[in-house]
Amino acid sequence: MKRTLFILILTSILTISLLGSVQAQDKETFVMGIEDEVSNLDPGFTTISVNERVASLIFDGLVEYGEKNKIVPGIAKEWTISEDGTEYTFTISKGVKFHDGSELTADDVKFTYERILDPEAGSGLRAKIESIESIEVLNDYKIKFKLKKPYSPFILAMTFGIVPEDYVKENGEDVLSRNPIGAGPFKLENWEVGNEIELSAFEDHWNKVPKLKTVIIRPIAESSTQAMELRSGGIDFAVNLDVGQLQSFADNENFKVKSAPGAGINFMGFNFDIAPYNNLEFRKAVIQAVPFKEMVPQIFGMLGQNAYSMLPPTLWPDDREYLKENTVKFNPAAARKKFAELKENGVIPKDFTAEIYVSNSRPSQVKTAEAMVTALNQAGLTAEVNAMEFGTMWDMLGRGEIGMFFLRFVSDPDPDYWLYRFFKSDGSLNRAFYEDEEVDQWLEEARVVSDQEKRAELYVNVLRKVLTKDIVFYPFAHSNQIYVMKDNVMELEPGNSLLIPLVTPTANVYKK
Amino acid sequence: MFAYIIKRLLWIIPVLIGVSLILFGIMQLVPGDPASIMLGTNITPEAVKALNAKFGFNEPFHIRYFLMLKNFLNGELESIYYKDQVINIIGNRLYATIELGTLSLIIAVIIAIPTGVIAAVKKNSVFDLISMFIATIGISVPAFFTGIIFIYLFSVYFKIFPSSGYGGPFWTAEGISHLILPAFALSTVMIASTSRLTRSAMLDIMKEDYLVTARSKGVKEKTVILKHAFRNALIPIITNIGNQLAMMFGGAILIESVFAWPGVGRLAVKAVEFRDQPLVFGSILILSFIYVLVNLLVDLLYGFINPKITYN
Repeated sequence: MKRTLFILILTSILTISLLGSVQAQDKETFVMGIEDEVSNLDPGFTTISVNERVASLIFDGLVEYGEKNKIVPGIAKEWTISEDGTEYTFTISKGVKFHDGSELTADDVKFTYERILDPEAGSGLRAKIESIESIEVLNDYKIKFKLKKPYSPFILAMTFGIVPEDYVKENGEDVLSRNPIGAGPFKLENWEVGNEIELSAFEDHWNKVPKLKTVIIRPIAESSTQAMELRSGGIDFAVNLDVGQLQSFADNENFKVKSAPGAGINFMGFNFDIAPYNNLEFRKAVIQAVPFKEMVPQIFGMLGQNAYSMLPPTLWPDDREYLKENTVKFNPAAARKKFAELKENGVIPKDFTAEIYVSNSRPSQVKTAEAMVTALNQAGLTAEVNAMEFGTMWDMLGRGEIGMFFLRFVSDPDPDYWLYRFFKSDGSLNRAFYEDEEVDQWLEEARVVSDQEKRAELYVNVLRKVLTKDIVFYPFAHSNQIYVMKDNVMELEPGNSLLIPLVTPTANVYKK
Repeated sequence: MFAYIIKRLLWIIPVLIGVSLILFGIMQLVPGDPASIMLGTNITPEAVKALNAKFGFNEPFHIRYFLMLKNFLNGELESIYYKDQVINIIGNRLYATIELGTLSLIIAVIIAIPTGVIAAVKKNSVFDLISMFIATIGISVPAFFTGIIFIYLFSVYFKIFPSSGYGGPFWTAEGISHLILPAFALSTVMIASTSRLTRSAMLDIMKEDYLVTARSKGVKEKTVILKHAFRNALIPIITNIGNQLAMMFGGAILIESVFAWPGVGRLAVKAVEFRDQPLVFGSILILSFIYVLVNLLVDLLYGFINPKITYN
């Protein structure tokens, strides 16, 4: 009896394993693991990075990012910018098709941008194009954007995915979020919500037919599971593995590990409305007390590198040398002395505990904050970590209730996107509540001038002032984008954004 | 009996109304709104205002509550984050969760109850000691850790089962092969606690006088154990299984994340993270409904096991 049961169990396991088992993927199917579930693929509303990653495969924009973040033609084959920088005229290639076979014309472009511009739609992308005064369709293949005043980073917003007007009008505003149709290299084949998304190559793509015929995207939240899926052959590619897992892949010749900087900046910020964080000497002492430059390589490992600027290393202007030279340096003795002084003259109140707020979904930041507490305590400042759920922390930050915080930020390759919102007095992310007339002026001017050298100079001014003189933020680590893939995956290079470049002007990923 | 069931079913209504009120109240107290979380670093005051107006957050408390309840009952409640009806979003996942929960329940019962009974009958034997030692480990080791070990062994090393994801309904080969590892991992804690409970319940009963009576009148030992002792030990065991099963439907979050299983638990957590109030509301209400239902089933089971229990 016992033996029959045993044999029965064994045979059934064997049958199941033979039937279902770990499927050997063919060469035209590419399975990628991403860290979170995709919920909405409407390119006008995808401000959450996993959504953006998938939407970018389905939709194409007027222009694209080429090598070194240079803007290269996309659906628009050429464009002109008027002398005063307020008129952008794009010529769209003829015969560009959406996945449903209809042709992409200037009307679709107009519709795409007006949809985002509508203030009631509440799109997060609106801020990038709010300088638009009017959009004029000149003919089916020519479109003119008129700006209220020159806005130098405007061209970056021309990367937004173009959506088909007729399709949206026929099927309702929300149709793209679940059933997206674009003109990008891949079309949506099947979406099992929460489990996997299947894309297939769009054979009529205007530029390149993808070599990968099927792309399957699977959300695998647990980093160790992603790692094991890679090993067992369930996925070809993983992004966002933990530090602990990366090394074993780097040492394994069956896998390739590639990294690129620019996945975001990790920084510490101070609130200028809350004492004693608004005291420059206090902020200096906090930074002096902590050996950030030694902590970062240990905590972030391959996932990050020491930072001196708010801008990623791949973005102009390059002023790292100056910032590195003039940043506040580790000096525990000086910090101890300063904290004692500040306590004596009452800047640091009695029984004061410095609280470092950090999002609990960022393990490297939490570790940094914990190490920081130890260093601060040694220097004579009582401190503690407050690791919170992001939504709660975000809300408190918005209301100005947090004195010292860690954040990570990532954006598109223009310094304006990285600096304006944080350091302009009325910037949408001015969570430091920092106000400085000079900085405001520089930031405003840099939006208007089109000469890149002049802009670079202005941004250098801003960075020097906010990072070394006023110490509004202290950037400590650039996050790296790390891709782990099987060794037969070719032409897949991490870019400077969070998007996964499967089909780009310079690459067309395939499996050998 | 029939009247009892009707009465219990009717009781579910006030319970759920209470749950919905508390739930809605708590959601109002949680800091953060869906608009600013959705917008992230692209946040602007205008966009937050526009979105909050779109989601109807500017209405007063009671109006929003009734609107949400009404939409939920009509099946029209729509998730903010997924832009889809809550019922659609939950539907598939609930199925996946029930599949996982049921299979692990079956596994647990098949393994745990015989183990517990044998361990009790052969108290202090080698079998008893070893199985209870394993059970103690099973209770102490968190299920997600067991899960990771399972994945390593069965999909990376032996390459028998796929490591994660949902493969389809359980009657397909693909489906069952994806289901087995998470189901076993989820069942470990239940096996451990149920076998220990079965053992101690059996031991308690075996001291009873009526077992001595049964033996002395010459009833076969097998009948004594299975019919007289085990039947009476079943009440606490069923209670425990019922509780665990109900927990499993809502609380298999860790196993769901380790195996990337598209279940309700992870969905509910995600919904809270994004302050997707309609989705939180809908998913928690449905989970509560299942919890109440499972409890009712357990109560009814008592009657089948022990006819002395009557329902009034």
